[in-house]
Amino acid sequence: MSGSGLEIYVAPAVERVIDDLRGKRLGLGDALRELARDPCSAQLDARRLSGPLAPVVCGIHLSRGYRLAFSVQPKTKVHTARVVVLYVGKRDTRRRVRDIWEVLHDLFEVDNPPAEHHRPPCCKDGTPSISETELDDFIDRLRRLLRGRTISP
Amino acid sequence: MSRVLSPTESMARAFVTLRGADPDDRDALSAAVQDATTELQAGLADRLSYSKTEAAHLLDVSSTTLEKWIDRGLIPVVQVPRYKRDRIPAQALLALAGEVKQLRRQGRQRGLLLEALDRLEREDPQWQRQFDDLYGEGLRAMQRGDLVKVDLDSFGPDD
Repeated sequence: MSGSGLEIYVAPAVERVIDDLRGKRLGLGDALRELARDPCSAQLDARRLSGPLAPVVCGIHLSRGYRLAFSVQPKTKVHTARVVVLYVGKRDTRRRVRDIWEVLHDLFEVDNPPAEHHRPPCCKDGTPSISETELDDFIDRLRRLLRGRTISP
Repeated sequence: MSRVLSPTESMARAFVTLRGADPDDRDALSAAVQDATTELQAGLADRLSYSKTEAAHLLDVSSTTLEKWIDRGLIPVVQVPRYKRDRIPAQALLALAGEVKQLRRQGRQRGLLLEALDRLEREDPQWQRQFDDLYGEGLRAMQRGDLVKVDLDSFGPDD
């Protein structure tokens, strides 16, 4: 997918998270521009998650311990293929309830594998992909989470 | 039957109400603010829409930001006879501007409009009934959580 020039999309709730992180010198702008240019670029060094989200999510390191999780929505009748930023948050292994990967697995309602994270290059076997249904469910749970509600009843 | 007041008369009544309140009595002051708000609303009742320039001033944002919000369907526009350009419906604008002002006072600087819309949706049941038609697809898309395109040019070196 080299030099593809994709557009980047986020859920409104994630847009608010990103807005709150502006000015913190996380390298967000550079990462997003590179992601738009080519999600598989060596400069980005995106890595595939391990476990149940491996087919769906890749992660990028930002500054100050932050990570950006993204996927790619395949082309449909309505839109071209596009990158979806799923979440931006801090890696926090001490307080796992706040750890981005814990949050992300909760949002997809799958278990976060406790160890053996191989972190292969994101595009080794093609780009990650998220379906419309997966994305709708994810966004619904995300909205509830960011409104301070519980993720699962 | 109550007499219809002119905008100037409503402003004068609101002014008198506020001036007459005891600033040391929080309850009385709160009631006076409520009364003055009602007076001013009555005075503004005839004003059904505002220009984009007026709207940008009320929301305290640049015209560029306002246009971006309009393009995304987050600010409704209507066509009004006599006016060549699109206008912003008054009630929706004033409610939003009030929420945005409150958020700014609380120190919030970014994501103001989405937060303001979210608050109105959650806290003001009348809001959805009254303004859903005006917002149309834009508001419904936001309520559904549809995706929004990231403006890459909006990120600077400090981000």
